[in-house]
Amino acid sequence: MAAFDHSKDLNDVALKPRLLRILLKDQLPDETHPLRNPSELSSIIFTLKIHSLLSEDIPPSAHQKHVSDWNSAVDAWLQTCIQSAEGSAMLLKDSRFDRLLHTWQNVYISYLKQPSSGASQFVKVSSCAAVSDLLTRLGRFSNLKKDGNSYAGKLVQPILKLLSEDVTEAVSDVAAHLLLTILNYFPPSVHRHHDNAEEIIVSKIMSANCNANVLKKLSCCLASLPKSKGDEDSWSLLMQKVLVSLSALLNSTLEGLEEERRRLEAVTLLVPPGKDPPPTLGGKMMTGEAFNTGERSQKMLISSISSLMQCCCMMLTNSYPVQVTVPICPLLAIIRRVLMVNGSLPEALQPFTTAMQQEFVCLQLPVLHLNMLEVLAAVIKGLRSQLLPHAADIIWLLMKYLKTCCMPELRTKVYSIIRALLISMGAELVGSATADIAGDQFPAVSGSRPAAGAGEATQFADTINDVGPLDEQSHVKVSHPLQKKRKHGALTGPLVEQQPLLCSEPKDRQSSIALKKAALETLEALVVMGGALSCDSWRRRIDDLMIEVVTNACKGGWTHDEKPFHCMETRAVWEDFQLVALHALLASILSPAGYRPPYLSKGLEIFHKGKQNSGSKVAEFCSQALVALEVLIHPRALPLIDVPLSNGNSYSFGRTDFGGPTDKQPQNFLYEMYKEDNLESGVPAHGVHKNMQFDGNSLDVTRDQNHKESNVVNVLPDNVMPMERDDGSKPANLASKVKFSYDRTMVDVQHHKESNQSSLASICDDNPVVVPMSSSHVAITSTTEVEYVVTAAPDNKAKMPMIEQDDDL
Amino acid sequence: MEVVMASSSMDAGVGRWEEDSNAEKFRYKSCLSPPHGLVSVGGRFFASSQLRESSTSGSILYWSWHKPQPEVKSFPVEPIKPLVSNREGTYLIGGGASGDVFVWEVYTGRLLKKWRAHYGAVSCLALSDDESLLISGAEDGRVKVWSLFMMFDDARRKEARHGHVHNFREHTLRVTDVKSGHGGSNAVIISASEDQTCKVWSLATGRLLRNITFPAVINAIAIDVGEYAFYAGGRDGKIYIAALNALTTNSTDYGKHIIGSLADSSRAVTSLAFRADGISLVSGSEDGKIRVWDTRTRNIVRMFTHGKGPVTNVLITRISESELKSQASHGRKALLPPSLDKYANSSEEIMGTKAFIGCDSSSNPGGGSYLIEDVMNNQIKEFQQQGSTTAAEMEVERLKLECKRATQMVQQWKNMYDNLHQFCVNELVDESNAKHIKINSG
Repeated sequence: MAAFDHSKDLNDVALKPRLLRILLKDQLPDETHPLRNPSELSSIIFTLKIHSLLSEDIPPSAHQKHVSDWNSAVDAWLQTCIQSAEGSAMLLKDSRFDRLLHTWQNVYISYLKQPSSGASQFVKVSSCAAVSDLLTRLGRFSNLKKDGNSYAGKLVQPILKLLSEDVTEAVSDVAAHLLLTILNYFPPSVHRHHDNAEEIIVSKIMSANCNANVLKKLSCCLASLPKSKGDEDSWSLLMQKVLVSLSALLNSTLEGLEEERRRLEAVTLLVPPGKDPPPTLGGKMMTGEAFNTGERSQKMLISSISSLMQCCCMMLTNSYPVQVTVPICPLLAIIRRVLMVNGSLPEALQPFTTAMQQEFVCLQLPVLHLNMLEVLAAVIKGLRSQLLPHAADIIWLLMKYLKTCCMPELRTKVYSIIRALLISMGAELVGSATADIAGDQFPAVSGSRPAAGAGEATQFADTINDVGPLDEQSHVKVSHPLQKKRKHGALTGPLVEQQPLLCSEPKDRQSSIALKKAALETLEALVVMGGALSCDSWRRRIDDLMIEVVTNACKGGWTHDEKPFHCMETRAVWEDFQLVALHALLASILSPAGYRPPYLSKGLEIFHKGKQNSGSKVAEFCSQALVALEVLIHPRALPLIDVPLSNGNSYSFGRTDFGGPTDKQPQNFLYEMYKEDNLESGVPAHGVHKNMQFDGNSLDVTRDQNHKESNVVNVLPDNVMPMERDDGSKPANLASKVKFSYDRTMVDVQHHKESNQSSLASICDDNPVVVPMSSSHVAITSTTEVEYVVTAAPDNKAKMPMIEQDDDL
Repeated sequence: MEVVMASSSMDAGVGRWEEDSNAEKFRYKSCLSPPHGLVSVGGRFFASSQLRESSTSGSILYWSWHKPQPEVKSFPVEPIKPLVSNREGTYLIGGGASGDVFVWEVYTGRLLKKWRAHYGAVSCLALSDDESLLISGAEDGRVKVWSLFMMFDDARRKEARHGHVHNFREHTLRVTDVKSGHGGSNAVIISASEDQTCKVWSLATGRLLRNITFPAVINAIAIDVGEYAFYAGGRDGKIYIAALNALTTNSTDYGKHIIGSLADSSRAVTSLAFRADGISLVSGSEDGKIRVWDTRTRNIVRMFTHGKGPVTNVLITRISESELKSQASHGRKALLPPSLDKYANSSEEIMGTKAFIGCDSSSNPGGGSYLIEDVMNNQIKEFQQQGSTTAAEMEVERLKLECKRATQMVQQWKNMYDNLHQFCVNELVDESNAKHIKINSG
């Protein structure tokens, strides 16, 4: 190469091979040039990555010479790497892949097959990881499936051997990962070793002598095993096996503390009478000693149970190529069985259970419950809408569980499950589901639907309130002296109170914040999904609660403000909580209720304030919230048919093209149509829908609350701006309120009982109620006693909207 | 790909049209569907209820997308007219001639629930936007709203006075169509009846919001996606546009709230549906034609001919190209679920529910992440700390190498020394020899 063969710039393709060669020559360790400092390696990797030297991402314009140059450079690099056995398949991706694959494969397999003492652990771990990455990448090429299968097939045996040997955790971790990769991308290759693999994995799980991460990967592997056969039966069989062994393990764990009836019910559902139980999980090897729980320690037992439950979760949520039969009833029975054990002794068993047994169970019970709740969440996620016939049972169970459970972590989980159910099952759940709990817990409340809702709301509200005062008490104690110290400071009370709390007991605080968040989110889901079904009593309470929570959350200032947060973590947690609170507030304002959102102006103020913290998530959300509220305040019709207006404008900004015969060709016409369509999709409302994670459902507003008149107020693009008077001072006395529905202009005038037809008629006749839209101004108006000041535009293009009445309603 | 399907109550089968041409793409055979009796089940296949006037029994047939003949036949206890399925295609809900409503689970064919909904035959069914509520209209003029959730909650249902959530009695004659708007439990529903009215109800409160009297009986309803207006297909061949949110004036000839109409034929409009763009309205008519209207210009964009017999249903559905082509490939995916049960069978409860687990294949499976970088970083870190055994191993390796090099070096030095020594000795010897020689010679 000529000495003055300069490259154009940093991005020149010709430069890359040269850089790679420099690296190769100067930096890569070899026999003559040993590694001086370990950090050299990282710098090499960093250089490789930042210049994407191995990516071979050749721009189409590249000169052929450069391409071949690069290729040879990469080849040289690979050659060296193979020699030095430090695998770096990291950035390789190309069509030349299959050519290289073979070489690589052999190298790594040879490393894997070496006896455990032979190769360094580093080499083993990195070759496993590299092969795993290779296979992952290979899995993306659909045309190489076959080759991949045969390569992977050769690997399975050594991996299983690695796993069955007593190796260090790092090795078994990557080995499990590699197996998982193979199962995910090349499942057929494991087919031959299916039983062997099951045996080894199960024995590993049951012996429970690895760390949680490895166990998780192993249970993932177990859950993915049926994929190697890929049929319905193997999935169902494994599921049944897992459930049976889970049940056996639970028998010995919960012994003496659960009701016999429940246990029997679950067991009978699992293996129906008259049918053969499935073969034991893990094959013959496990039959004898593994389930002989005599000498197994309690801890091992719990770890195995957790792993099996994790396996259940994975099976329920990971995709499977064919349709399978989910044994929903046994699953629910076993979930019920565990969740209903609360550590107390059933009376019948009191003489037979020792205090030690009880202590044992109670020690592990929260872990069991948490895992079971995970399984329940997985059931909900896996079955989706098919859960409908069982939804009532689940809600009943959860409600019953909530009553006895008081650990924040568990409650958090329960709330999130309820939330998922609420969203997937729809609004009706809100109304009907809570009757049971209302019946149990609020005997005073009659069983009608709204009251039931109130029950739930009260309960949720209580949770939030529960947590609130509890914190208050705890931190008042702590903060008192601090408060005195800081009296000279400009800090306000609540702010001071929060600091010691956030700093001194982060763990405690975090868990309770998580609980608060979960409860808030559940309430939000409740409002979002069931807002329309609510009656004033509990909606009002929720609205009050939401504004209170947000005010409290924001009182201490936004995280952006100068606030002595000691660790970033709590700061992030706090910001999350604020975000959740703001979400909930927006939901409570947007969700339809029978009245004008009572905290609209407060909410607007809070969002405006929040928007000022530029750069934070809070600000981002606040600006979205403001857009959403803008739509609430200026409901707009979305006319497709352009209605002619006196001033020639139409609301959709479109052409006034209606009805007339056109001589356009359909294709031209379609083009026009789509053009229009694009134009309309610019309406911000749609963006809001997407961005705010609300169901579109929620954003609708109830019309027609409790009165007969249903009126239509037309919204026109006009220059008229009416004045609103006297609205704020006596909201309770307003004879009528105008509610604006989202996305529509069907605005109802809601009257109190005493206001009669005539009063309305008089509005229509005497007072031109103008509700115009100059797309940014709106009037929220109309009371019987308030005068209207109408400022008509001078050019008289103002349009009087009509309020008309349906006589026949 | 979006397709338009149409069926007839005369034996003319089901026609399928695709976007690009006016020519019929496919014809599914032997279908005699009553109004509202054609439904796409989750986009996987389509089902149609069958009603033969001669006999008192009916059936429900399944077609897969690429085969002309129905593949699965079910025979419920009574003739089913309207059918509806949820978006995911897990449930199929049918309304019987006796007024019963049937809920089947599609994957297993199990009859999950059956209840007495109306005194007259059920004529139309619709699901609310969030699919938690079922709206049924019947020949007795009633429109009822059911909570699906509550229907499965036996304990609650017993407590409640009646199973339904709302019961709308205002229609005096047979209900011909119901549709639900956007907005979950807070939506509006619109019902049409032979009493020449359409009524707009609030689903949340169960109140009548608007009553619109038309010049003709309305057979079918389609709601504009922005709920600006709804389109009502009348027996006089006109499609009336009735205002929901729109500006209404009393000036139109048709009556209050009716903004205008689309008209092309004098034969009755039997079914209406919007295409996914929300602008093209597809109407089926008794003259056997399917018209695609542009609702902005109120012009006919295209027209398909189905046959001589009246079109009873139009169905617009989205199917993947692969489903249509799977005829050519292996028939692997085309397996249809079993036929629907006649009676509820409680003993099968234990069997569990069939489901596609995580059928959204887009989700990346667990092991999909690249590992090597983490592993390398971990190793380098470990190496730097020099704490672990493996790091020590590496260190030993390195020291060995160094030792080897050192020995080599030593060897080299030694050799050099030897050489030098030899040289020096030789020199000295040579020198002394030379001296000797000198002396001797001297």
